[in-house]
Parts: sequence; C-alpha cells; structure tokens
Amino acid sequence: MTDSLNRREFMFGTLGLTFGFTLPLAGCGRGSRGPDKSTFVTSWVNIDPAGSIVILTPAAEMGQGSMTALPIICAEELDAEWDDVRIEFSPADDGLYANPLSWIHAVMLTLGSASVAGYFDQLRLYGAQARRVLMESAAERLRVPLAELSTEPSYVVHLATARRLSYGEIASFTKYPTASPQITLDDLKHASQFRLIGHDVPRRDIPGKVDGSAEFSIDTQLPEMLYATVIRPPTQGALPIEVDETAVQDNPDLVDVVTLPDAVALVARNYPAALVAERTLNVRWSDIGAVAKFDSDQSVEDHIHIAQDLRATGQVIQSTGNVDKAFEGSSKNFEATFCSDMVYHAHLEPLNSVSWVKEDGSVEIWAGTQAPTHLVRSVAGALGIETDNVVLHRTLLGGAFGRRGAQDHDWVVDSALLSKRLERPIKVIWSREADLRYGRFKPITGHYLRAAEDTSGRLTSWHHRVASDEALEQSDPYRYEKTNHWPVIATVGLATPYTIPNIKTEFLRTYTGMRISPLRGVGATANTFASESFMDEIAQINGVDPIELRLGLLKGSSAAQDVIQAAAELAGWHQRKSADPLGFAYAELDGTLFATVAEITVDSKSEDIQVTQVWAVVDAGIPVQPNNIAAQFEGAIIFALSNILKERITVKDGAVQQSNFHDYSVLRMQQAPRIQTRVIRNTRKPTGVGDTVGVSVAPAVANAYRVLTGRRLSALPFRTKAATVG
Amino acid sequence: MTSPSKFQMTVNGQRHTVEARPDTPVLWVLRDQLQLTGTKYGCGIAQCGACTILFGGQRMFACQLPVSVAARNEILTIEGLSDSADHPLQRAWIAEQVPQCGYCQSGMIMSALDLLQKNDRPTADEIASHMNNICRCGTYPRIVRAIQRAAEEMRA
Repeated sequence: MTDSLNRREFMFGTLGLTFGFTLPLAGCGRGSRGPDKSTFVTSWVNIDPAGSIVILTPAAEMGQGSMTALPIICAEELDAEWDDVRIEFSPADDGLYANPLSWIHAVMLTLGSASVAGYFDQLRLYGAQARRVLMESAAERLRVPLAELSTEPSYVVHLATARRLSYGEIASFTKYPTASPQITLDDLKHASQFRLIGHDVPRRDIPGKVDGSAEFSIDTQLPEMLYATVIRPPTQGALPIEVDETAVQDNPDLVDVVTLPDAVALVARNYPAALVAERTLNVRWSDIGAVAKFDSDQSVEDHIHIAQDLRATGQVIQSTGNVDKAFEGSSKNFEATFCSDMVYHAHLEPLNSVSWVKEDGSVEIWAGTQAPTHLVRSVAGALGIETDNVVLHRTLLGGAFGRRGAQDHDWVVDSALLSKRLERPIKVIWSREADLRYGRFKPITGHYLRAAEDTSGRLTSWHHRVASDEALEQSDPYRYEKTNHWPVIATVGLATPYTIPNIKTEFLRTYTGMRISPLRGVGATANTFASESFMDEIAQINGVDPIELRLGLLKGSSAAQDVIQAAAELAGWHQRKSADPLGFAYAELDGTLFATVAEITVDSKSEDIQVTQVWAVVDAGIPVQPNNIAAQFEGAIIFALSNILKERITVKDGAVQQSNFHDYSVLRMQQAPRIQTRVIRNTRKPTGVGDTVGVSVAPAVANAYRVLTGRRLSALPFRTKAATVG
Repeated sequence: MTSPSKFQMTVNGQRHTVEARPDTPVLWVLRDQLQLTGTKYGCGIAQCGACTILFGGQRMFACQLPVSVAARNEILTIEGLSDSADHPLQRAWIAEQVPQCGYCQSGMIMSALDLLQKNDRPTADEIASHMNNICRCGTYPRIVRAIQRAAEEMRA
C-alpha cells in the first residue's frame, strides 16, 4: 500500500511546486459550495461572515484520524481558532486534491500511510496563503501597512492601535489576489511555535461514533429505496450463465433477480429478504479453466520454490556491491525460506453503497471510498455517462485496510447498475459471506534469504528474494500503468535498512489469477517478517544479542539508534534473562522507523502462541497527533497479531473455503496483549504511520518463539505444530 | 414464507408498531424502519457483536432476535443510552479517544453497559473475557481503559 517510488524525487518535486489559490470551487460532492460575495471561498478554506471556518479534507476517514489531522495542519498556519473550524470532505477532484506524494499518477488516494506525510507542506502553505490574503484585505481596510499586522486565533490584529478584525468580518470584504501569495516553507512557523500540531486535538469524528449518529454509507436512507445483495462466483472470474429462480419464487419481498456482468443481484423490499434469497438461489457459472484448480497450499509451496531457485533472476530492487562474489569468498553462510498466506481485510462494515440514478441519467452516490475519483470514473463508465453527472457523497468508512481503494469500485458499480435498471434508489450491501468469499486478498509470498560473513564475523552479504503476485495490477490498473508496472505493493519493505557491503533484493513476479489487493502493511508485513526473522536467526546462531547486532549495522543512523534504544529501554531488554521469551524486530519504511519487542507464552498442550506484551517505539518525524499515532500503533499491532496468529484464507479448487467470522477468526480482546507504545517527538517533516506501523510485530513474535522453543517460525500465519527451522 | 404481521416494540422507551415477517431480525427493523442506524450489521451470525443491543436489560445480538418476540421486553439501543451523548461510558469513550473507524463501537458500548450492570469494578481480565465483540481497528486496549474510567465514575 505504500508508494515508495523515487522518494527523493517526490520530495524535490513537492518543494518546487507553487500552490494555486484556487477559486471558486470545482468538482462535485458534499464539500461544494458556490462562490458567495460575503463568504471567503477557496479550494481548501471557506470562511463565512459569522466566523465559521470550513476546512476541506481530501483524505478518507477510515479510522486513521486524518479527517482531523489534516485540517489541524492547515489551521495551524491559517491561525484559526480550532473551535471555529468545521471539517468537510473535499470534492472528488484529482487536480485540486490529489496527494502531492502521488504526483506520478495524481489520483486522490487514501492509503500507504501517505496522508499526513503527503499533504503536510501543501496544507501548511495553503493555510499561510489564506492567512496572508485575509491580512492583506485587513491592511487595506484599516489603512495600515501589512507589516504592522499580526494574527491571533481567527483575528487579524493591529497592535499599535489595538484594533482587531475577525476572520469572519474580513470574509465579507476579502479582496482576492490575482496570483497566489508567494509563501515558501521558510516563511512558516517553527515547530516550537505550533499550538495545534503536536498538541493532541480531540478527533472530530469520535463524538458521532459513541452515540450512533456517525454516518457510514450503510446508514444512508432514501425514500422508495430498495435493498440488494449480490452473489458472486465461487471461483474468481467465472460469469453467470444460468440463473434458476425456482427456490426464491415464494419470497414475496423479492422484487427482482438481476444478472449483472459478473454477479447476480437479489433486489428486495427489505434487506433480510434479499439475504434469505441469497442463500437459496441457484446460479450456474462459466468454467474459467486453470483458476478453477487453484490450491493455495500448493501455491505457497510454489512461491517458496520460485524464490529459492537461483537460476531465475528477478527484478532487482536494491543492489550494492556483488552478492554472488561475496558468497564465494565467505567463511560462513546462512540461508532460510519463509512464506505467507492470503489474508482477508475483514473491514467490519461490509462493502455497500447507495445509488440513485435520476431520470436525466445522472446519479447520486453514497459510498465510503479510499479513491473518490476512481469511484466517479468507474461509475460513469459503467452507466455510460459523463463524470460530471456523478455526484458523490463521501461517507465515513467502517474500515477499509486497502479494500475500499480498488479502482473498479465493484461494490459501488453494483448499486449504480441496479438503480438504473429499477429506476429507484438502491442500497447494495454485500452480505458478510459475499464480502469474504469474493474478497481481494493479501497475496501469497515465498521468500529466500541468504547471508554471508567473513572470518571476523562481519556480515558481508545479504540477499533477499521474494516471489509474489503484484496486487496493484488488479486493484488499480491505472496506477499500475502509470508506474510502469513497478511492483509497488509486493516490494514494500524489501530493501534492507542495514549497512552491509553487498546487498541484493529481488522480486520474482508470479501470476496466480487470484483476486488480490493491497491490505494494511501488505508487502512490508511479509518482507519484514522474512528479513527480520532471518536477521534474528543469524544473531541466534552466532550467539549475539539481536539488538546489538542491529545497532552495529545501523551505525550511520542516529535516528535508528535512538528508536532501537528506546524500545530496548521500554521493554527492559538489557535486564532480561537469556531465557526470557522476548523477541525484537526493527523496520524502516518511507522514512518512518519502528522498533518492537514482543513477549510470548506458548500453551503446552495446544502449542498456541499467546502474545502477552508488546513494547513498540515509532519515529515518524513531527507527530501531528501524538495520541492518535499511539492509537494507530496499538491498532496496527493488534491487526498484525490477528493476521499472524489467527487469519488464513485457503483456496481449494479455485474456491475460498471460509465464509464468515465463525471460520475466519480475527483477534478478540481476550487474545490482545498489553501494549506500551512510545511516539518519539522528532522535528523532521512527518512520515507515515497508519498503514505500515505494525510490520515489525510478526518477526518480533517469531523471534520470541525462537528464544522460547529453539524453533524458527517460517510461515505466516504461524503454524506452531508444523514449525520448522527455515 | 410467512406473511407480514404487526408487532409492538418498545425501543428506547418509545412504543412502536412495525409491520414485518415474524422471523425478521430486529436489527433490520431498528435500522430500516425505525431509522436507528447506530446498531450495525457486521456478520449476521452472532459472531461480531456490531449489532449488540440490550433486550430486557441483557445484551443481545439484534441480528438473532426475531421481531416476533421483540414485544416481550424493552429494547435499548445506542441512541437511547443518553439524551445528549453524555452517559459515563460515552464520555469515557471520548476521553480515551477509543474509536477509530467506529463501526463496532455502538455494539462495544452496549456490551460494556451490560458488563457494568453486573460488575461495577471489573478488572482488565474480566473486561476482556466479557467483551467478545470484534474491533478490526484494534481499539481493545482503549476500550479496557474507557470501561474502567466509566466504572469509576458510575460508582462515585
């Protein structure tokens, strides 16, 4: 889920941009308002004469808190009184609101821990520009030089004459400049002057989430609305060829059975009637050949073999020195294989949307999405209308984790097509069974790692090969093309942060035909599990302290030293006894540094792992919302533990074998460990947290298991009974 | 399939008459007929707890409660917990900044209420064994803190 292409270029490109002071608003959706003479209106900030300040937020709110964090960044430089600020979702408009980090494809996306990191400079500059425009208008009205004015929250102040104009007053006579005010990053506040950033402002979405009033798309109610669920094929890609309605004919609330291009929809007057029909309808699906024979267990084995087979060269992701030569002259070699299985997003709000196709052919949509412009284009394409005729109401997302970013928005196109056919508003909810069986899963991976050391015990060579399908090709073909087929999902976290003379990391593409997707931490979870388990194995074989080994390989990074030492201190690592079941892991992703220590026990009968405590430290630069970062960290740790201890999608004969939470378990409160986190307050520009912050959990647990049992866990999710040394 | 009938329900202290087939889960009656959408659909099979309500003061999965028996007891949903979102549990949930995506939290709060009615001083372990609802965002540690915070306030 992380766009890690050419990070340096991103930075350079961002710094070189001038930010337009756009007006009036373009695009569609909830944030739109027409220009009004008495209202200060720009593409990011609107102020009305009563002093209410609307800040638009481009990112989806799916639990990660950026609905609050992004406006805080803008309000800081605008010098807005936070209580005056209201937050609205921005319209779907790539030109205005695409994340600057995604310049290569310029699509509005909320993923890859990129929102705060990507919009940080832009929102500060916008806030400062808006403040400047307000000050210039005030200077003219007060007939004083601009330089004599300053601001206090939501006021422009002329200290010499003790005169004050509120932002609301100024909004009624603002003179807009013909060009954007020239403001650079150097003109902005120093971190020590921040009064919102870094100060734990309560999240604005939370009050509505404790009294039932928060609106998710599934809560949308429209007059005359019908309800539908969909049946999709048991094997990926099969198409409906025959629908036998006999079994649903006595269902009086069923309105229609509709064959969609890739599914069959059951439309009813109420949703439970659609669910009843879903269980009994008979659909014959087309034969889709090889995929119908797909077996996930076999595929995992295949991936390991592909990674292991050095005769095939992969796409080189990172290369330093000459790995092969280093192995020839080494005194000691290490090697291991690892693998990971498919995982389901399990967002608690099942995929759903509401569409209302009007008589003139236009459509209104209510949906939660990580990619609003992709949604608009997909729906317009499916209905054969212009994108201007799609009005999107962006709602809160009841979890997403990558699933609600799929370019085709299959869960939204369903309702649009049905509404067009039935000429009524339609709410489509994929039943949990439909959502799971036709999920888009984290791809299977196989890993081969080898390392070499010289006679002095110094690591001289590091070679990591990952075999995987690339999720982006299916989940977002537009971006896949724009990024020249770069395996952006599968190779996240593959590059090693350690200083080793000879390094090679390689990607070996597989084509499974399975529906796969980015999923929180995706490539990084598997890649970090393999590499940090392997690093630990080297330490264990050599009888070296795993933390000391890593510190020695990270001498060039004081930030890394700080994060690792902080985690060691938090966990009491140096006071531990050698047999204490503690494991350590470290990771760096897109500038964010994570260190995790896990403590475990293993049930003597069931051999189940119970993670009893996790200590975790993150350095993500300036923490805009430190307590929210801690919350993301806690959540990501639990999400990761759930993935590695509980979750596994298996496919036999092309069909997913799980269907709901009774046979696809996720971690519950009783299995959650005690968690202690520490968020380092650095002064670097913020980097990402929400998506990737849990990636060092799996190896930390595996490494603790190695200490406790002497056995190396080589597969995700962990199978303790079959555990082998890799 | 049985035909629709009229059923009485008392929800959050208000009497309602609804028309539905007898086996219709109360979940959908609450959401789609009474517009009480705080109670969520997550699995439909009594696994996730997103639809947790109180029925006669006891927690219950609304996806498993047929409308035909709804008249037997009073129903309390998240919307009826307080007039202005100021029940100690709601205040504690805000103070601890518990919700992330928030989809499970109505069910969590109703389940917590059920616990505090039986145990006014729950330990972390007692909370964990009672609160079996799924939170995919992983807010469990904050839920424990929020329940203990609310319990303290409710005892005072």
